[in-house]
Amino acid sequence: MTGDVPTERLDDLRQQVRAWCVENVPRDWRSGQTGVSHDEFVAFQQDWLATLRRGGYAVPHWPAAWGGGYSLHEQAVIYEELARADAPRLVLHFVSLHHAATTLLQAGTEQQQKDHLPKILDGEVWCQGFSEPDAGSDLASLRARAIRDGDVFVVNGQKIWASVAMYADWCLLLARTDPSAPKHQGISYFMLDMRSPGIEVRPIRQPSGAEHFCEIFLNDVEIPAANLLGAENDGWRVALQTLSSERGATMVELAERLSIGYRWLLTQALRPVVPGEPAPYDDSGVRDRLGRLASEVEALRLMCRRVLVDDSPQVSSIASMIKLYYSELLQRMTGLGVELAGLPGQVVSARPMSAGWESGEWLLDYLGSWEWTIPGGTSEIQRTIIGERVLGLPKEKATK
Amino acid sequence: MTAADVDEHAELRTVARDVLASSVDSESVRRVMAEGGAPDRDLIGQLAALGWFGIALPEEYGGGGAGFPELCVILEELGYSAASAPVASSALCALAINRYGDAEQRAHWLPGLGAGEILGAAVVGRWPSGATPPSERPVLTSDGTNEVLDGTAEFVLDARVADVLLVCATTADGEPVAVLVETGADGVQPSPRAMTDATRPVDDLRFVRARIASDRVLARGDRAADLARTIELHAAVAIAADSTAVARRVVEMTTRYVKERVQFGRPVGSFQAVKHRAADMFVSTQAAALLIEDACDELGRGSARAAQAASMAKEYACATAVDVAGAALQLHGGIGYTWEHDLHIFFKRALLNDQLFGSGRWHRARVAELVTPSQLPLPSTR
Repeated sequence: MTGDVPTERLDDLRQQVRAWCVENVPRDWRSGQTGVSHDEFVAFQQDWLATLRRGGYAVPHWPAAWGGGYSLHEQAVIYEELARADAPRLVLHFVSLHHAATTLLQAGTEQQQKDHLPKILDGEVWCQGFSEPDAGSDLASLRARAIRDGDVFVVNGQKIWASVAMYADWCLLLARTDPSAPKHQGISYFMLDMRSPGIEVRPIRQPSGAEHFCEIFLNDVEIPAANLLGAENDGWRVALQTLSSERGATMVELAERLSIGYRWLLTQALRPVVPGEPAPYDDSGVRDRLGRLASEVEALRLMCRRVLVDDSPQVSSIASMIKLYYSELLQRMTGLGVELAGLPGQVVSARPMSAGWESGEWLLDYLGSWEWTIPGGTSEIQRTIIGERVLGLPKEKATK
Repeated sequence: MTAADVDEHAELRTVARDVLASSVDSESVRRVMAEGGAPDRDLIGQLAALGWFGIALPEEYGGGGAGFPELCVILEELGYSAASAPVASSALCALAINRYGDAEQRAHWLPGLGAGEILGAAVVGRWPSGATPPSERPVLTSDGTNEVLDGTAEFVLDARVADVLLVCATTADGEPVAVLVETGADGVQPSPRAMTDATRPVDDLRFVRARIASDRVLARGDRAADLARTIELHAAVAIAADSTAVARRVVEMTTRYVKERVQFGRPVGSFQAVKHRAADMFVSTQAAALLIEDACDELGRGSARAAQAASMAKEYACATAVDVAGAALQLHGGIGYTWEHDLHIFFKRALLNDQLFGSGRWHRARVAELVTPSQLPLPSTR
């Protein structure tokens, strides 16, 4: 159990962040970020990161020595206030600030940390090269091959679903270094410089029309052995650590954004689809569904908060629960938004960049919700994890 | 909840579960069912000796000095074992007296209620009592020398076993009034309802010129309306606490069963179709438990969010228990669909809870009403 943080200190911090947001969150950034070029998006993201950094809120989850040093409770307050102020999201830097940094802090050498953490804070963009066309839910069956040749590894293979790879300076890469070992034991974790020769990145167009994910083709790409993160063939263990960093205070922000999203949904429901006709809210069936969603959003917020006070071993399984609950709830909520928006909601719309799921266009947000139910372990994988690790149900036999 | 609260509640829960595990089992629950839900007096004596009836009452009246959250931990464990014991009903009655009664009333009733020597029940009327037309509520009138109560109340939990009833009534001119009515008095006639869930007693009440002495009036006018709202919120969360434990219990029963039941040469729990449904049952049960904790905290603090939190907890936990118990029946296959198996006992308890103290539909509509639309403009760019 963690000790309780004095409420006054949290209240002070909340006031500080709130005041800071009033001064610093760019006004009308949503309309400003709609229909912009890639360059304008990147410039806006870098600018917002720099602004957050000046405020001291860019990396609250990092250790103090590297520019963070906030407790989990304090992080939650910061993320909550950013969400409430409807601040832009650091979508371009999400992997670098969370996955890359956490992995470096947990598995990196002192030199690796010194080389990369300050640059990440300066805006270096990272992507994650984990999934492959034939290694999705069964990630450990990945086949990208890294063969040692003196001081370098030579990598060949194909990665997929790497978000923001087209902008990335670095990639967190999983590749097989020992094909004869059992599948979880022959994988190594690398930092790959995306400017290395032999890399080709192709964006994938998604059903929403956006291009957020990419394929990465690796042809005889050389990675210095010094860029191994953790020991050779120990990459799977390191990767599990990275994936577990997706929980914690960042989920507080997502829950808070969902709570705001619910209230947008309510605003939507109060609006007649056809002027002069009753609003959807006047329908008791709609109110029934709204009431249920509100309860679920609250339950999600409470789950995220519970992680902050409870550090018992069981809490690691809460990560799976939160991921499952959040993504399924997001899908239902945005789905109701589509329903309430009626035919006008089906008209082609543009999505603001720098936002998360909450573009305000329900149809785009609904389509986008599969970015939550599939990546990072599908809802089905999460249910399997909960069934096996929490409920102790027997494993299904793997088929070769 | 703070980390310390989490620890304390876990400890209280363990104690309560141990006690109930040794005194309540399938056989004793079935005995209660055969009696139409009336509790076993020995069990009541045992719970009284543990101080559970008065756990949330101030120490000056012999209570435990804890709060509503701790009471709800006890209520959950009673639900977990499908016990019949009017702990919630008595506590609601005591809560009203403690908060709205005068010093004499508190001194007269609370020690007995807290010790479990006097049992109470709450009559809030059709849900919510504020919306019940005065013509359908028990009416308090004066016959010149005394005030008397007339009218009926349906589906009152634990009325049969109560010594005293908290009745949210009305005056002839439609003013709310809250009175205490002793069940042994002339003109108070309970009649049992045969409910499909027979793990607890549910009764109709008829009041015929039942004399109400002036010291039995707890509150009038706005205070009485406020009392009714307070009792309703607490009742809703109390019954939701029972349901969340019913859900927890059937998740455990199901998990155990699907680990043991072998078909096609392996435990059925290894099949994804079964495993995933069990995982969903677990997750929604966890969510329900968190909403209950939150509602308890908010009610305990008397915060402005209490009504919203209470309705969320009520609608979600009660509906979840129904869904989870239904899924449990499915995952148990044929064996669960028998009178012999205990699942139906929990399923029916969950179904009744979903309708008691406001239906899920009512509470969801209330939640929709209480959560305010965004102050921020819609992000829509169109």
